[in-house]
Amino acid sequence: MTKIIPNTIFNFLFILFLFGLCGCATYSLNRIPVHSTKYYQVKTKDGRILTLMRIRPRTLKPDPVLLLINSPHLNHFFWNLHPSVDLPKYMARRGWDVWAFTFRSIKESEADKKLYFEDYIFYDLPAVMETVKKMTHTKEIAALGYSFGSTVLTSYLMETKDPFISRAVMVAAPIRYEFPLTDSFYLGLESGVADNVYFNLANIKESVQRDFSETALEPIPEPIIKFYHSLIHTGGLEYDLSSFKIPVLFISGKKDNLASTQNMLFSFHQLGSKDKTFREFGKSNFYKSDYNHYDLILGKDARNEVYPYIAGWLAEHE
Amino acid sequence: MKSTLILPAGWLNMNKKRILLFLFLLTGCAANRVIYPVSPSYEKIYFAKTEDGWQLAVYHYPPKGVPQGKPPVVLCHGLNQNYLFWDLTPEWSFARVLSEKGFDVWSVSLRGSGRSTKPGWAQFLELNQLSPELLEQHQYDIRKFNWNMDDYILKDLPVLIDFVKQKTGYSTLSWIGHSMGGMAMAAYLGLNPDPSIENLILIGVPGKINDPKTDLLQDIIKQEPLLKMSLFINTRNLTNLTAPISDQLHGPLQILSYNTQNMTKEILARFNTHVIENTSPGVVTQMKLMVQKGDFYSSDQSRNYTAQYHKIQAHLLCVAGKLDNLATPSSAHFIYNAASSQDKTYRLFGVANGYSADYGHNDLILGKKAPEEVYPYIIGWLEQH
Repeated sequence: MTKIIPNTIFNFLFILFLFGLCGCATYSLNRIPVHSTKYYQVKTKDGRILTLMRIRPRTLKPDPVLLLINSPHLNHFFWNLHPSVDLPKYMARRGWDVWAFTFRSIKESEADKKLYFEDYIFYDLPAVMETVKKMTHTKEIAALGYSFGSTVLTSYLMETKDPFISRAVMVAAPIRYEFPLTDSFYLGLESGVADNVYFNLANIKESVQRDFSETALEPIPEPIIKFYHSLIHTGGLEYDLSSFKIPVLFISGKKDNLASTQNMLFSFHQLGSKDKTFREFGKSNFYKSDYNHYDLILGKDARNEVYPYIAGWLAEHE
Repeated sequence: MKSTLILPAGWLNMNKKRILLFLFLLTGCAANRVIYPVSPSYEKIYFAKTEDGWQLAVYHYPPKGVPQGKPPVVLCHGLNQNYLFWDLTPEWSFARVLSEKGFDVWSVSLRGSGRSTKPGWAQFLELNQLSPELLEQHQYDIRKFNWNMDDYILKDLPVLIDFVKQKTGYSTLSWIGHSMGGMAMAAYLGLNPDPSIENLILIGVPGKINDPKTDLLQDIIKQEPLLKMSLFINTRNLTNLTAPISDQLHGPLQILSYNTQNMTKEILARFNTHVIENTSPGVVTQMKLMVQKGDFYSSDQSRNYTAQYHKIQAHLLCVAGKLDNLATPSSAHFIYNAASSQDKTYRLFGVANGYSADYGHNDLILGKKAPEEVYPYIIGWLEQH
């Protein structure tokens, strides 16, 4: 008798241990490991060189492709400033082949002074699309435009009607402006506006904010600033948005002053897409905080609140 | 048979506890009124009578200092509130500031609020408020327990406008409406364009409910039983109870009504103790209809008030709060866009316009810096018109 009791307990514990081991193993099978990040260089038609970043899951089947288009005043480092705010890896773990890139900038040579908004649409984006097409052999991709990147994406779609992009996510997208504008627009965006206009300081880690200004920010070419100002004062892109037909998700932050909910709703209602969704990230939709412009991607809770919403919508529209 | 009559053990004990709790809460409510006193500074109170026999209280703040010589200004509170919204403390008193600037100010309480006629059952729940004087004025009437927004628009507003015009001798006036007080006037002007409203100032007024609706609003209108119970719920005492801890609460109603970070604890407590009034089921049902449909309809759905906003001709100032979740910036912008006024202004109160904070719904008047930021803006606009 004295021997049986410890044996039963031992057996029970051993079986439990085996169960646990299997459980852990199946769990890790479920998780898609992520390949190390790869970088590519692409030459545009007019001879400029762009850097592309690719993060893909280590799976055998071809993955759906997601192209991240950030604002031209940011580089691709914006997407992985910190492991806690890494949207590409988050998406790659969910089975997406994620691409990001940096638009041409003024750093490289003097010729860049002739940089125009149209260069992004007719040279940069087509070159990126071509590379993605060649490397992934896919017929259609999803695109996510962030901030001014969505303005570029919208213009690209309206100009080229490229069927390669089959669905789009617009995060904090300034597309059209409903007048009257706020003073910070009239005063000039680049001059002396407090941080809390673009960040909800309570919703962002200090280190992330510091890294953002040290690593992710790029100088904005002067013609682009001028173009943006003209956009603001004329009410935004002049395309007939009713011919915008692909499924689209709009994401806005309640506190956002650059791409305010008001202006984004104004643009959203003009879109011709039958399948369109608008989501505002603020307390009135039961999120932890009212999001501002940059914290939609870099916020403390973005990983738990914004990313899952984007991933969910993209999974629904795969 | 006998056993069924025996009450469960400890019943008596439980009941005692409940009675004690009830008494504790009752004294708590009464205590709040002592801890957070208000001292409204109106000079005289008048009563206007509607055609269906309701008495409406009108509080007069005559001009102090140099009179502006401008048409009288009428202040109208919002949903479930009373005139104290405009005169909560000496510092946060828009009515007082206006009268000191030389305006002739008339602050009104719509039916069911302030010292206007109220349902009779409130008599029992607001024992601590009752005085022989109030009883004499028939403030409480057991037959008058239900009313809706159409009553405000069709019965209260014409009487109030006529009353102020008659008392002052002016043929025009400026109307300042917060939230529902502005909605009612916008709807009234849409129905019968009244030239006597010269200036219309709408503070946090939703023109329509934006599409897509927020989860918060959708969730609230799903609480059908709760809304129907609004006949019996005493909202006033509910908020009164939570007044001392109101700065700690971050529930759905708080998100809808103010930006907690932009209000001081004292103001919040006073607001919850004195300003909130009891709900009428008719008004709640009509608000629910508005959230469901997007547009503002009459209670029998025969009239769409939102569709009539283009008839507004008065000089218009729309004031919106960036963090307002009831009258969102785009919702307030809707009336601005729709009105055919020659002279109209839209102002958003948020950090993007250089203000100290992003304003919520009630903090447009009661916010920390509202007396320094919002009041001067509105008064400046009034002086120009």
